[in-house]
Amino acid sequence: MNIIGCVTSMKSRVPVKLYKPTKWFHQVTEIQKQPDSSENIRGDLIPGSLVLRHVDSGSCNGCEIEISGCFSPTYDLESYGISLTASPRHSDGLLVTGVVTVNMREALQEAYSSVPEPKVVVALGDCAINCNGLRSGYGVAAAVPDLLPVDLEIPGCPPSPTKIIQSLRTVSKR
Amino acid sequence: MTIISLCAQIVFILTGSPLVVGLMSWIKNRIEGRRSADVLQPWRETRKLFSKQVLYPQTAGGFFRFAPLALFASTLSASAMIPLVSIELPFSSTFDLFWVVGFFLLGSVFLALGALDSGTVFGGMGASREMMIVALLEPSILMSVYALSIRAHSSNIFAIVRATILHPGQIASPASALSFAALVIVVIAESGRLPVDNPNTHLELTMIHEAMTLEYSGYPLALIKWASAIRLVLLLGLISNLFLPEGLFDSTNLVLLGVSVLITGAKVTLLASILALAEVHMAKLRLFRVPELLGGSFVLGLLSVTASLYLPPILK
Amino acid sequence: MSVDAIASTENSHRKPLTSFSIFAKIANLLSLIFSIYGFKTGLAGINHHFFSVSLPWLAPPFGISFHSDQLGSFFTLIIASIAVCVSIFNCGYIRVSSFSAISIATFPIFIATLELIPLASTVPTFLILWEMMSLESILLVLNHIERPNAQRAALLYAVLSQLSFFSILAFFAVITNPFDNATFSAIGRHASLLTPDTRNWAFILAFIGFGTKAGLVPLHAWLPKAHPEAPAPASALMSTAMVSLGIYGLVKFVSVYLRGGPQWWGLLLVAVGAISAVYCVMQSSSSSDLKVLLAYSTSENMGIIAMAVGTEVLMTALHQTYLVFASTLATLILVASHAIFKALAFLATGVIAHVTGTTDLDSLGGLAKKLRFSTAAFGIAAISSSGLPFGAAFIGEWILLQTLIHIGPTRGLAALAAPLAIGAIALTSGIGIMAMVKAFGIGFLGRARSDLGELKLENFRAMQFGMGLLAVGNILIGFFPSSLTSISANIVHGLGNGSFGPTTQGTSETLGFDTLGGIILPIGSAAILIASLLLTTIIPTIVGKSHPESRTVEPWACGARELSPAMQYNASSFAEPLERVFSDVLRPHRDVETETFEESRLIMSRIQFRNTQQDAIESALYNRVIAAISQTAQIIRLFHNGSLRRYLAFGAVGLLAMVVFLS
Repeated sequence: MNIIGCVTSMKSRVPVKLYKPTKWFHQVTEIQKQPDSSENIRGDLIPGSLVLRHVDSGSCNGCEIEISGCFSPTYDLESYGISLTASPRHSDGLLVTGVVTVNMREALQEAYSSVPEPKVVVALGDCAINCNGLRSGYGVAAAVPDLLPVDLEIPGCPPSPTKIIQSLRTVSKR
Repeated sequence: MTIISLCAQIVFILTGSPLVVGLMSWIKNRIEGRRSADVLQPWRETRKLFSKQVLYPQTAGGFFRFAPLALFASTLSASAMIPLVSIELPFSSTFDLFWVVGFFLLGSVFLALGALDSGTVFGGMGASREMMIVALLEPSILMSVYALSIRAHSSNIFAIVRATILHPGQIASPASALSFAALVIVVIAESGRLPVDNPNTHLELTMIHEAMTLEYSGYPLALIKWASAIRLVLLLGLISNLFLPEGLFDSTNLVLLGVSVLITGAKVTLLASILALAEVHMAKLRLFRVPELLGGSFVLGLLSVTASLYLPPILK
Repeated sequence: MSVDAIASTENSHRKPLTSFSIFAKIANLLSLIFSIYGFKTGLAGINHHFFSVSLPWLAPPFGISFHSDQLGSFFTLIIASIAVCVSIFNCGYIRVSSFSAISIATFPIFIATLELIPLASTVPTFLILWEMMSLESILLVLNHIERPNAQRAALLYAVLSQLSFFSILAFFAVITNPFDNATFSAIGRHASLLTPDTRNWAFILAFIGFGTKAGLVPLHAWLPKAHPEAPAPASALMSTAMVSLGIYGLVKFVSVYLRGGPQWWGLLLVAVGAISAVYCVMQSSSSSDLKVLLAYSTSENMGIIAMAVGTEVLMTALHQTYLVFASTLATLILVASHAIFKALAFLATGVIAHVTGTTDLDSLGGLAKKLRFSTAAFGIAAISSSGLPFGAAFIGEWILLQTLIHIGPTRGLAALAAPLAIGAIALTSGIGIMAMVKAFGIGFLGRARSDLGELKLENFRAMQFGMGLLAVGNILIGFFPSSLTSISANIVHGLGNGSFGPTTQGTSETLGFDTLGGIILPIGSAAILIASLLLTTIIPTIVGKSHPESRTVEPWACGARELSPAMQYNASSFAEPLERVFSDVLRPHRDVETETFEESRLIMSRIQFRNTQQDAIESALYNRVIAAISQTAQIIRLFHNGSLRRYLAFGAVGLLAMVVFLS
């Protein structure tokens, strides 16, 4: 117990529980190995920073949960220079999840045309890549590759955060 | 020689400001238990944005294009008017605090006008909120300037700093403490940090500063982000040198200039770290609670004025 | 004005030379001649070549006589400079806008009256001209006499200007020596011999009389009502020259003739000025009509000037000679700079009103793309008025702030004056910035909120020239303030009979006071700003490599197909946060009306939101006064039952009372 603790506890006669961190920070992030540089794609994008606009074009939110997991302290996607943004104008590309529904088709294309060049499209999850067997659904328009030039596919239903991070790092190259 | 100090100061601010922003987010991330990107990350983003395409919305007019340039230029001008690395700069006898504060306002006004000129919803929303904060911040800024100027019998920034160097004892007064507290709130609100504004938010409806920039892309966006980083560093440097001007020298030789740069850098780093440590433990205030905070800052400024008029400093 | 203005625009240019247009041309010529002659007189006057005319045969038995002094010449110079620009502007404007014949005829006389008032040297001359000025401006407010709003505004304005006139009349009655002639120099001699009580009464009367003319709270209500009704050139003159004359009265009579009043005079002036400034700037920021916004902003500026006059009186009472000098200087500079930027703003508003047919900010927008010149003019006026660096208003406000921060420790209530005054100025300039960003950003930038059709302008050359002159004046004051400050400093020296200490530091570029230790150098900072702008334009090429060609795209609508212009923030929504913060003062009146489908009461077919601005002081004070007056009238009416016998009895009682009183 330190001095302040003694003083306080003597004064008040009530045991005071002090918050005593062993270190001033406690790291929980699992550091992952950088992917092999031969896997890198899109050499025209400047390495080190990748800002994505996430578009849910008709997802079941399973992929969203994994994405939010990526930004948690455990995985900390931002430590690799990858972040999400609110405006496509600020972004380097789209991160699309889910099948493209009829109602979201125009919005997705609108979002794509709102991204400044050079831009990248990432299809995240099996639904985005190939509709995952839902193509015959009445509200489903297409898979993402049918509408936009996809640069990176992250398969999985849903893909794990580790996998998402490893794939995105081939674009951000960090 | 004053020209050399000016160049040193400008280079120091231009290169250092993204690093300070990076440092602050590094500290916050480390405390949250993250690995965090390193302090160079804002620089990487700036460099990337400068090589990106620029998109202009059809609805926007000429002001939308001009605003980022005007914001950056006025912030840069302000950084040539503040004693960061030397107590003598070109024209330094004419840099009144009221005048320099006006340059910060000029930047905000141009950005708000640019946002309104984008012709979109969020631009107007951000502009409206930002101008409300500017309007309510102005009294506390002027009150703190007033309190500081009483001590030095002048509102010239450089004169205030010189007076503090000459009579270091005067700083140990209730008036200084109060005006320091008032200015801290001003700095936080002016630079758009927590709890007034959350610079990392992704929610349009809670944005203040960010909402004004939603339509910007490419190098104009980079200029805006860089300008707000510069503004943060300027305000931190200003507040540290107003109250603790040790390490500032006349522009006489290059060694002293280098020492000044290092010491100011250390002061700004320290203040930024403290700010980051505090931000971890804070949530953003509701927009309509912000006026209460600013009102509090005004009252602190008022108290500090009365204290410096009627209470003598503790040490002569 | 909307429909007829546009209609008259369409065919006015092709109209043959009718007697009406000859009449308008003559009127324009006259106003130009008057204003140029006034300019010459004013310029000669500040260089000690005084204007002196005596017309004993006119208006017997007193006669009319003019003998100017430096202060009066300075005001004439300001008024005439504005009048020159407005007259030039009017050469184009009068042909396209809907001036009535009476307004056209009144305009040159109004200019002449305004210019002559500061030159008047006797009480009768002053009073006659003062009353003429009020009447002429009422006629100008009644330009569209058929409109009920114009009638109401003119009525309110007439009542308040009569209040002003009568208190000035009473002021002269109190202050004039009955055994001496009624010249101002005799008043000056006599005023110092009055008893303190008489002086206090004189001060209060002068304060009410001239304060009403200047539009100080609570007697400001005529300004925001009258300005939307008067044609723009008339508004420009009323809002600059006429209100400045209220300040002229305060300076001349309170701080020169009644010099050395007690502290509370100054405190009262500072307090009323501060309240006016803060209250009116809040109203200004929340009003959505451009002309109302500018009118409130005039009241706000007059409030700040009243604070400067009050500081001067206070400093005289505290014997701080140097600060007396500085605050008088601030007063004169504030008057001059306000005149020049407000005139420009009103003229630009006039062009907008003429071209679009409205001054309602909620239906404007996007004018920058169509009316470049007027947008630039309004932009310059807006920046100048918001107290930002390089703006004309900054100079005067800065000198006032310098005065206030150097007051130092004092005793009593005066100790509070400086901190609270600075707080008021700061809040005013903060909210003022918001008001101007709103006026400019909502009205001129972004997208047009309603279909304004094709905007066409005719006879724009003269209007451009008038506005251009004022814009250049604004820029000159903002960047080279020393020309104005040295003139004003001379005037102030003349006022103090050499009793003031050191003058302003007199180099051509810097502006400041050696003894106050404050100097600003706008041109040096401008050089820094230009250098920074150059650096800013080259930074992208240094830091970034080549970037793809920029592109114009649809605005980001969060994936929606289209954003309609109505989705933009408008004037009401822009001011909403501030309105909410100051809801105790502003009390906006909100109405939400919903209509539902007949089939289901839960589904709405139409929602209408209405937000009307209310002047809290007006509704609280004026309505009560009116109610009290009508109640008194009711009581008096009880005595008037039409019976002759009762009236005879009243007469007898009156006679008896007089006998008792006189005996």
